[in-house]
Amino acid sequence: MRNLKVISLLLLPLFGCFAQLENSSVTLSHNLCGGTTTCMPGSMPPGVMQVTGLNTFSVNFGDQPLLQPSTSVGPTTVTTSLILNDAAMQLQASTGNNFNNITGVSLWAAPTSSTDCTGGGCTLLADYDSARDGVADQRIVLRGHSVDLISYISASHTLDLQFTATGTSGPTNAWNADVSMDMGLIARANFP
Amino acid sequence: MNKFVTINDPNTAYVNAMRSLLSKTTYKFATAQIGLEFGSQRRFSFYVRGGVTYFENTLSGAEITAVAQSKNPDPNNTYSFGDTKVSGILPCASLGFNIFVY
Repeated sequence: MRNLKVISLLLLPLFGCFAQLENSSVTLSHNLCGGTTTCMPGSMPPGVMQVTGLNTFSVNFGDQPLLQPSTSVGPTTVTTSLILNDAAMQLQASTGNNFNNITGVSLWAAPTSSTDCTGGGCTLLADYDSARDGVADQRIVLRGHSVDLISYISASHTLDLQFTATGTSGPTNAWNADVSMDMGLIARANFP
Repeated sequence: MNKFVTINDPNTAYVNAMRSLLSKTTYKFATAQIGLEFGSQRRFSFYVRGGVTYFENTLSGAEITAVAQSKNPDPNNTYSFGDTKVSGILPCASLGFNIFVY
């Protein structure tokens, strides 16, 4: 009985075995219109920010290793989390445009491209509030809500996102912006 | 690590980026083992040991960025990675012998 206890105690550390990959700064930047075109209309009213006429825009992460909820590697399974720390929308250089009249922006994970997230059914990923974060000019920084994006990335590696805004109006002239997401990645395999 | 890892992928940019990433893999480790030793401390002894090892490694953010970019299907996307920490606790075992010459 005593030997059994000793053997169990000696084997105990083996049950805490793991391998982990951790990166607290993964940034993916995406141009809304593609290139230097300006697909966003000037003086956009509050509500859903349509990109090229659609309620959502799609970010394709590509077939990256580990960017799926679980990956079988040999005798074990690697589970991945991709937490959104914050997001930003940087206005592309254009004369006379700014985000001064926008008081709030929310970034949502949308289930379909036709969903209007102001009506519910979406997951809030990050938001900006001018009263809390200060008035934005060329760049809006949205605070993340620590949502794990990995479960929202589809089998075809895309994530459908939607911006909704509050305030009086968007930039005066037609505009374009780079959207960036800063994420924390943890991929972990436990043994046995 | 390239001697031990084979990367099969039709994307040559990805294969090259992975090879570059794995070409300079240095790590720190600490091992704790217990075991049994048989033989004589005058001539020859044989041992079997087992335990756990902790390892830690930092991968270059620039090289991981190159790997991610090679799998990026959208020219409107740009990846940027910071340095990545890889760590773990794994079982380990050793088998060997000692020859005492003095």
